[in-house]
Amino acid sequence: MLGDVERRDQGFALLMRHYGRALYWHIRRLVVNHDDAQDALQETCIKVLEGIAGFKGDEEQLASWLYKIATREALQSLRRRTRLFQSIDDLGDSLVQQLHAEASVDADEATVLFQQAILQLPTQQRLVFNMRYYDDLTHEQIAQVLGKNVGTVKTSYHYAVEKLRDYLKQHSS
Amino acid sequence: MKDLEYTNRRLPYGESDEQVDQLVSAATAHAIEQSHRRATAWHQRHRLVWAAAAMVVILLGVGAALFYAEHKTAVTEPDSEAYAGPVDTFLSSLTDDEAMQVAYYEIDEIPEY
Repeated sequence: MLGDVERRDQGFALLMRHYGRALYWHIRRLVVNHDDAQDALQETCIKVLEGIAGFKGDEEQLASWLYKIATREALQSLRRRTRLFQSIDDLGDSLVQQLHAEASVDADEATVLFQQAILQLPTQQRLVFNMRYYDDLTHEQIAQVLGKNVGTVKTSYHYAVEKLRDYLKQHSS
Repeated sequence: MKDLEYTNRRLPYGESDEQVDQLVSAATAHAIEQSHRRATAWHQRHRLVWAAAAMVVILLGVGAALFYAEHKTAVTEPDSEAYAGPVDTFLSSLTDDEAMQVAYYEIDEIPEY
């Protein structure tokens, strides 16, 4: 029994060494705020450790499972910021303000503007775009993370790219 | 400014890889520690439940024993009273002839005082 727990802990630590950075940045891009990202990462770790013994699947499914937990925790963190009857989609402007407050001093204008454009997207499109563009997840993996079909994911990505292109055209000087 | 090595993308945030690694290992250690704490708490709760169950069984056993003892006394009491009564003592002390006389004693023959 003790050996099982030790092996589980070692496996979990190894998993987090491999995926930890990617999960942190995934959460950080969604919640923007550093402290909230840290809390959501903490919750993600706890949920992963609780569920790791029951996970059955291959490596591709493992990545999807980890991103699913991290996404859920990030969205939960965003939900805590909303007022009564307010949707997460309405948080775009406050996230952009947060982005400007948290952007590093050496961040170039184009990178900030690009991130700002992403934060204006509806939540589902933002999730799909982030996971595809930054994390190189396949459409199938993203569909697993979000519990949607692959067609919906592809459509969301297409609309996200269109909106980003329009936004950047309008806001580039 | 952050360059994500694994996908070669840039983010406007300042955390270095070392800082992120520290965050991840702290979160990992905290999750493991919390899991152990929960397991210990679960075992303690488990032990308490077993102790309470054992106590209930013991109480039920004692209750059943007391009830049985009382019930047994109640059943045997009338018999012992019947044998220990003064009439029985008197009758058992009579000889056969005296007993026959008592048996055939006519009610009219009882002298009045």
